[in-house]
Amino acid sequence: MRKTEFVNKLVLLIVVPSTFELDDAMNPYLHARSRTLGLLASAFFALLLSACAVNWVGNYDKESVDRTTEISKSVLKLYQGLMATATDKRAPAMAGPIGAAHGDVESLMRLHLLREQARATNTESTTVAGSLLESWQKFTGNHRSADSSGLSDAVLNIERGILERHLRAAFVAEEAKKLGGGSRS
Amino acid sequence: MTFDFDKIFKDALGAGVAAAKPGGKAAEDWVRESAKANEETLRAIADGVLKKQISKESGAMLLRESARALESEAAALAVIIKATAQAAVNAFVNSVFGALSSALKLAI
Repeated sequence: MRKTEFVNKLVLLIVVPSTFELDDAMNPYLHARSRTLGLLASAFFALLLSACAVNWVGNYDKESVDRTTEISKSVLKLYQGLMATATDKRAPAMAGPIGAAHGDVESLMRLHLLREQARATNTESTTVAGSLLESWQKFTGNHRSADSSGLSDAVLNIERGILERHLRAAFVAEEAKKLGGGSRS
Repeated sequence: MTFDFDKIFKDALGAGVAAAKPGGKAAEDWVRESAKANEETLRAIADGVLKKQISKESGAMLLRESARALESEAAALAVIIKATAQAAVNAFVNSVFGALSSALKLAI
């Protein structure tokens, strides 16, 4: 039953009690009034309940998943490129195309953060996007530092693992929104 | 008109519990996965520092960033929990609302 139809019938019940079929011949008026009050209370309770639906998490957004996928591809490609480069040539490579690629990845992450911030009831995904960007900036700084181990295989492997954890958290958070019942594809 | 409130609320509770089950499993799986990933990162950092493949400065930076990744994982867990609670509450409310509406429709 639609809510408007429901409310109309309720009004009818209150205003025109004679429209009911009554089975108590001894006191029809009181019986109808008691029945009306019962219906009114139940209807009020039902309406109250219908307004109690909660919305604690935002809707699933496929565009967010697509952006995260794009960032993941760029990050993995960049680390693959760095690790395929000889260790002693990694620092000079940072001044070339690999260095420029760091900037491109950061732009993608910044855009993603802005889009996540613009979504309603999206605090957690915004936190993940912000943390991802901060970790990325730290790693980029480390790649450009004078620290001799900053571009070693061991450091790059761990950095990639940490970035994958942020990205996995972003995917999981978005997919979890489907559990709440909302979706936007 | 008679409402069987016991049955209405029992059904609603069942609907809420059923709606919460997938989220409960997802939360458990995610906590395990997150703990395992965190352990692997910490082990790798410790090994790298011990074998002198990672400087102390880089090691400290990686530890901080691992903690930041843990915050991201906690945020994802919060989404799972909130979404699960939302599904359970809404299933409960919808079930009660549906039952009351049906009963009222019959009464009217």
